Amino acid sequence: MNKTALTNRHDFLILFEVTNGNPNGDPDAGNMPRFDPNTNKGLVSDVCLKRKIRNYIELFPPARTSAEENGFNILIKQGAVIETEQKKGIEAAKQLHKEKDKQAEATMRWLCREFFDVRTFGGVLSTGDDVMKGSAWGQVRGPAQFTFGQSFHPVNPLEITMTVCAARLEGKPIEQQTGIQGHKYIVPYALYAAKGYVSPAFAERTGFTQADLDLLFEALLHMFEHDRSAARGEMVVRGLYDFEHVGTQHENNAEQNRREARLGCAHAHMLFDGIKVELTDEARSKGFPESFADYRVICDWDDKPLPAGVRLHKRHEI
Amino acid sequence: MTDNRITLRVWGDYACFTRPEMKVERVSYPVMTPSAARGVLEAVFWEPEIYYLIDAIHVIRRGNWFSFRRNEVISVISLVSAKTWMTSPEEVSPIQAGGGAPDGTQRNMLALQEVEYLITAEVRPSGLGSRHGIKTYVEEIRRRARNGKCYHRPYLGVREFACDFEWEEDAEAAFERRQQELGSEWRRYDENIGLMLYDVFAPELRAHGFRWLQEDNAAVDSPIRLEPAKKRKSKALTPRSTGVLVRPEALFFFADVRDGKLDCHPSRAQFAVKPAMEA
Repeated sequence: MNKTALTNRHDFLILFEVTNGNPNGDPDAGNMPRFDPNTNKGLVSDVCLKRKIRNYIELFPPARTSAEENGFNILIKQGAVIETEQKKGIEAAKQLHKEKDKQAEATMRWLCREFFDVRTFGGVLSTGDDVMKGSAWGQVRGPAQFTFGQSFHPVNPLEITMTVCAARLEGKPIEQQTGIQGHKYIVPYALYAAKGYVSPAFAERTGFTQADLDLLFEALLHMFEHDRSAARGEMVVRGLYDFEHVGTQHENNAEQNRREARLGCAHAHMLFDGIKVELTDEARSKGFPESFADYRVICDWDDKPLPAGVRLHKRHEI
Repeated sequence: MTDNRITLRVWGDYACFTRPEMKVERVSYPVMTPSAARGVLEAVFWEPEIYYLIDAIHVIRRGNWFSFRRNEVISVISLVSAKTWMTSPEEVSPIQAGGGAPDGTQRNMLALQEVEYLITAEVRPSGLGSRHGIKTYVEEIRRRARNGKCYHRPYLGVREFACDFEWEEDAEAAFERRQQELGSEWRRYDENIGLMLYDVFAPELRAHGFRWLQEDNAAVDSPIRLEPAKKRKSKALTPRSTGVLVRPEALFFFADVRDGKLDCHPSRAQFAVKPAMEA
């Protein structure tokens, strides 16, 4: 579909931390930070991470070079939106579509080209037709796939009480409006890891390019910097280990390399196992981590060779 | 048939094999369904000339139940409004999700945590041509599974629950070996589950191979058409294959996990409704 679609498989691991904040509230538990009751380890949902990426792209969309190139609009927005900007972008693309697009396929391609999030994460389409319902046709499978983020150690959410010292309403007695007015939860400190996968076979379908992938990594690295809030505390990306599958053949054999890179050259779990995160000796005697300094991230791949055909990019080291 | 039999060991942090009777708030079956197993195998290798018949699923780790509530989007992307969007963008607005927005909602999911299975399947020719013998394909699957190659990342029920996989030469031996390795963590899982989704089409239909249902077929009265589909004029988005048009239709069987093994080969499984046989 797209000649410039991404050709190499990527498996990436993202390490991020929270200090005195709530990375992802659990609606089942009064917005307490999510944690797994079996292990007490903290959790961050896949959709939470994807939301951050969408918000980042919405804030910093790259300039579109031409109407035939991929656009960077976001289809699934958070709450209220400012639509003016968006409509301008689509206006530019619509010239292309003077001829009526009868085919759902063409519309689907248009959606993928226009919207970064559809192109990257996929989505469910409605054709307004009962026969199509439930068929594989009704979905766009995006090349990027995220798993839940999990913390390395149990989290210990604290409840913080908020007091108010200034009344808001004139008509109401001041005593009722001040004092203890609310609660919020924080995780004192936790380091999380989430895995992501990019499948070139789906990139071909949606027209997801290398430039889109670079943008995705940029968004991952900076997503928390533009998502500050009192509730979130300090969130920082501490690592983005991107394993790129490039093929095991000599570079003259580009065709074979391309085929290998598409399917990958090694097991993803094996590659991820090479990134070890452990407590330092001092932190171990203390029993719990208080900051990133209490962790040691060891990349085995610094000392031993990666499996043939795989390259490691440490995207956090720029 | 034994030469065509393959076994993959798959494991993941989470899994959700959604029961179709509870599709709004996802509730998982306690064990992987044959259709999910097929999905994993097809993520590793798919080719119109072959199809997989899931023989058995061994449950190495059944996992714990685990509940999760997320903000989800109820609206789907409408192709009709996308068409309007191309010409008059002022008439359409994006999907508004998250905190209290009109297109968002909170949904719960009852999933499994820390699971591991052995998928045993037969690789069969689909009758859509045979450029290669079945052995060639089995070899290719073995090569891919051993080297961690996959067409797209396989997953356990839903895409956020990505899984890892490894080739196993023999299911029974692998099952024994994993029991030893797990030691005191090993729990035998036996349960008569009752009705379980087999797949969204009958295995007989699968044997013909299939092609995706496209928009131009939408007007067909009969859901299943057995004559070869007509050639598409426009550039095909998906496959080079042609085959039978298969409309998704749920098929159920009586699932019984005994000695940690869910036997689901169509020749032994008892289906809730006898599927229409086609020659």
